[in-house]
Amino acid sequence: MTSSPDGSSTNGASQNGDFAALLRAGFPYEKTLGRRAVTFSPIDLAVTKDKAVYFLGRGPFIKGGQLIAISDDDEELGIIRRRDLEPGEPPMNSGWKWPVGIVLDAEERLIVSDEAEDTITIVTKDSEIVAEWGEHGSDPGQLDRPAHMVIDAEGLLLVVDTMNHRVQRFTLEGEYVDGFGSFGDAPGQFNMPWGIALDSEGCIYVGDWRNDRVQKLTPTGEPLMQIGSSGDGEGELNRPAGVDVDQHGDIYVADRGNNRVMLFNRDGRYVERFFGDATVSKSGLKYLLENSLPLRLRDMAILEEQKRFMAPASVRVIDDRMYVADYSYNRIQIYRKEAYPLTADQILPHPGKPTLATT
Amino acid sequence: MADDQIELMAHLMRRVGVGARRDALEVLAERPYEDVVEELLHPDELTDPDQDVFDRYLPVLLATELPESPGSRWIYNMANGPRPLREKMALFWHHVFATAWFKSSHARAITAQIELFRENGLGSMRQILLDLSRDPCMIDWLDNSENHAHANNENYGRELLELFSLGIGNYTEDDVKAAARAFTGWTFQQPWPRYPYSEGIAPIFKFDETDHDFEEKTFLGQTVFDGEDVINVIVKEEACARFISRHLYNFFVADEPGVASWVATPPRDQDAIDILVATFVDSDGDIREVMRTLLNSEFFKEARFQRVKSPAEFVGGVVTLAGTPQFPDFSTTELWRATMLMGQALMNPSSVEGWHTGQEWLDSGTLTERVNFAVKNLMDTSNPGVASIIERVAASGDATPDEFVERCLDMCGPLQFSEDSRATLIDFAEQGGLLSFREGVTEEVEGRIGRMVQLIVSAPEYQFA
Amino acid sequence: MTTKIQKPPVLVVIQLSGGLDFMNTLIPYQNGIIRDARPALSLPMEDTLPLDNDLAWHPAAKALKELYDAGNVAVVQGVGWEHLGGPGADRSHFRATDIWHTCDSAKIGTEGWLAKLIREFDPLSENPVTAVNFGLGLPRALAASGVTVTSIGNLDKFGLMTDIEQEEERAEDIDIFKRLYTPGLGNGMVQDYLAQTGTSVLKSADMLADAPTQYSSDVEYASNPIAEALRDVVRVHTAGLGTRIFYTQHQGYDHHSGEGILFPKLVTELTEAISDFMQDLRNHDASEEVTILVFTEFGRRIRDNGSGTDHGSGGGCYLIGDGVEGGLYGEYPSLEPKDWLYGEDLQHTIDFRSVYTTVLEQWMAVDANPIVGGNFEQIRPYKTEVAL
Repeated sequence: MTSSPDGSSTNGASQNGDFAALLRAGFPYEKTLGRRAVTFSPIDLAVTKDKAVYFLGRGPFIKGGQLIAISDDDEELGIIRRRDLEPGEPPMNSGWKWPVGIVLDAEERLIVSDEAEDTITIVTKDSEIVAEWGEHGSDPGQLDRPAHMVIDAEGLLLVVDTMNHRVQRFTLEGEYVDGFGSFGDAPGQFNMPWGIALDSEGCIYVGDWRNDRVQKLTPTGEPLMQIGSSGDGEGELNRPAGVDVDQHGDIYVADRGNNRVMLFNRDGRYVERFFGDATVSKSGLKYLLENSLPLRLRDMAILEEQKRFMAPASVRVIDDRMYVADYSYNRIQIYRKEAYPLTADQILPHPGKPTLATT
Repeated sequence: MADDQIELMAHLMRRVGVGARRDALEVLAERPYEDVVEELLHPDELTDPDQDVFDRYLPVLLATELPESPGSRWIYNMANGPRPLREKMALFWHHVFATAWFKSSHARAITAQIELFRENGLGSMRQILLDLSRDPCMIDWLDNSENHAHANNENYGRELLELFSLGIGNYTEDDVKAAARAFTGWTFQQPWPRYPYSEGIAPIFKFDETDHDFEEKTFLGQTVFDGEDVINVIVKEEACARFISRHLYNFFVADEPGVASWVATPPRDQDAIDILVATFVDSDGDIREVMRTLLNSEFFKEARFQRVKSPAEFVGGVVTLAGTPQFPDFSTTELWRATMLMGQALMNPSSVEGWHTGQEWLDSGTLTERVNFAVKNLMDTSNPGVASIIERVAASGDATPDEFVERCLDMCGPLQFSEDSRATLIDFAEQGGLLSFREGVTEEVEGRIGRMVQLIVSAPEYQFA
Repeated sequence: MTTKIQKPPVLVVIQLSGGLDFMNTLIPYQNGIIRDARPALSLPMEDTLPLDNDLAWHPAAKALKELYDAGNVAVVQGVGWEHLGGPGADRSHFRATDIWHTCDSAKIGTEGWLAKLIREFDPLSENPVTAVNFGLGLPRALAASGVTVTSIGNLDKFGLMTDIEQEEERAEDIDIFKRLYTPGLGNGMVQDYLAQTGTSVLKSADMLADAPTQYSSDVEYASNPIAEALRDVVRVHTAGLGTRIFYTQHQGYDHHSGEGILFPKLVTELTEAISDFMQDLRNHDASEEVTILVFTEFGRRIRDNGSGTDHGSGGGCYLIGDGVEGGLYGEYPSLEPKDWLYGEDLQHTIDFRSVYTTVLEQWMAVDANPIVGGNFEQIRPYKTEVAL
């Protein structure tokens, strides 16, 4: 489902990468990181150059969250910030209440949004808080449940402002620059948006959560394309959360309500969906081997569904790897893209129609 | 201002839900009473708003283990949803079939049980007991998973008869044993362990025929083989009709003494129970029919303020009146916590006997929690419900202390207050003299109305539904 | 030699809800019949903590054993009552708890035994903290018309309308609250009860406001509900408000399954909390006037069901305190199969009302007969006497 005609712009000069088309060889599952109690309810993640995963999670209690780092080898590197609660008690310590989005700036500082506090926090890997800003409200520059974020080529921070149904741009110091969007379901309007990403040309992709679509917009917020519609079929979405765009312009959507991840190409054409293939992570295996009860229960249970995603909240693509924050199953699943860009010389032009002459 | 029809609607909505705001009551009062009842009895045609928002911000399968999030969602739906009776019936069955989270700490399992009550709470007694007997959370709670063909565990068999359908005195020890044997092999598929990736989806029922006692049994004088036969016998018993009718009466009409004393103490309104029993028997245990009879009966319509509100009703009623919360947010889980502190942790009662209702809800601790919760929610005059009360009190122009109290009681209900309580409130109103809107709705005027509302919800009369 | 204490005696009641498996707490560890009947619960003999040649403590009860060895624990064995309603009626949690709470095994009682004791101490309901319950909801043992009990969910935030920040406004509102809750005439029973409850809210809040801040202690309690409740008992007791009865519950003893895992955890929590509590009282020089009574609604079936035990009879009680003469009281029920009640249960050897009578007469110094509804034989578990 897309508003742009199928295949209309695959011809030669392209956006999002100088190639005519992609040879999609596969997208195999690679591995799983984390386990319950370590990576509680991952809601977003960021990956540094040394492949450490900065994992942002909700929990252990309803009103709290934590930011921890784990290595690509599933070793805990440290807790950056955590809100500790007494069971069943109101928050005791400082920390984020409902952390929801994380991005890295050029120096790999961690920028985190909190949708309960309406704040943006910049923190170093050593837990030092560099800045914290944000104010509740609906005026320009104020926030009402900020969600995911992205940094543009000029180093400005784009923040999805969920309850104000808009996207706002700030300097990293919190100075308001501009914003766009309003409540509604017309192109360029939003209904409680969540995810956000940029492509190589600076176009903006927003996970328009309650409209069950992803919108592509110009860098100034003019609508270009709507991807997806309500449903659970091919190319359809049910309350999409995080989005990302890779080097080829492929668009990834955490189709949260359908417990899957959707892949669309740079033209918004539906390509494939991922349901999850998780195996037991290294940390999960260690836990199991030390505990006889879960070992026994696993042996008694039907485990088939355990590999699936459950309410994925975010998808982040770094180079050829897709990281999925598998929210309800407390882990991160990693997949590897195998695709080869093709030049216009290698592939026939689009014939403009399907054909049964397939040889 | 308050006319009979509005007072009747207010009564109905307090009982089938947690109460409705004055403006909503006016709309309802335009319609014939029976039509409103019919709509309440057919909730399947409506949907609850903002369930996706809960899934986004307060999902059931959180890292946390308490049923804080599903419990809060439940109260939210009681207060905000368009089909209160659906939620209220679920609460009714939860009172009768009290099952707690704490034994398994499997939030998905208890949530799934409540969902069964929600979906079929107005269905046939036969189906309700069958659903219950197949519910993994119940099977685990009362150990039917350990009720084996050659080693019976009587827990479920006993409570099914004692607490869920017939009541003490209407069966023998042999019937308990027969029932236990009939339910052997009714178990559930082992769910995943919580580690490493969470317990996953709700567990599902499983009939293990290798562990079922297929022999013939005699139950209440009839030949039965399995649990379904036992239920078929139970729902035909008049004792079942009486037991459930008295429960319905206690929950919807007027407070009865505790279940334990039912054998010795006759119902406060035997005729009413007889009418409900007759409908139950005639309709073959169709709960929708029994509820139709109940809600349209004179004994129901007349039973104003005859029940002490349960904590869920109190909390839901206060947030409805205050207009908080309007939308699921960070503070929404306070709903569950509030009922918990008032002695009703939804989805987590302290034992299979369930909650003691009526005045047993109230002691100095829980009364304190109630008053504090009500005041906290109503003290902010910018809350939409309070703002609307202020606006409507103002709409009628200047008010003498008498009129001031009268209007506030009307807007908060309409409520019936004793002469003494009225006098106390009027004395307070007199301190400020005439409530004048000559200079518009000033901060001072807002403050006075807000205070009056706070005092009204702190009063003893507000504890009754 | 008996000594006399001069302070008013205090009773702390701990109810173990769900039905404690007494046979698994004080285990007849040498008995082959019991070992055979309870394969799922059998512990290696060397893991148990022997008390004598017949009985051993469950290892999870180590802290209680130490108190016992120090002479501060009286174990009352084989506590129960004659099952008038047959096993069916009396094996219900509901019914059994009610019997304990109201002392009436023949019909549904209306007044709690402790409520009657409160009436004895405070007939005009002058002190709302004569009895304090820690926990949510009021147990029937404390309930009777005209009797006021303060129930505390959270001692640190106890009070009315604590959200109103303006002190003057709050005081005024509380004043109006007081008028609204003035007991009226002929408003009905529930209304009267409510008015009374409202009045006691105000009084108890005033009294308890300072208790948390006055208390300090070197004892570090564990973080679980029973430990916290017992710590709060010390906080209120040492505040000197005239509280004579404290009540709290420890929940979760209904071990139809998984008893091998769940039971030790609970028993450890309970016994360590009691041990810390005693230490804390002694540190505050406030132990000599206190007796703890630990009871549970019933014992459990002799045979296990593969992983737990079903509702039974023949439970036990503990009386704990510095005034207690430690030891075993009553008789452990016969373990011979021919003596088993209904062929599957322990016969009780002492009526629970005997235990109540003992505590009421010998510690609380009141006439027990009207409270428990009859004359019951007493045991002699005290070495100190209460000065009347």
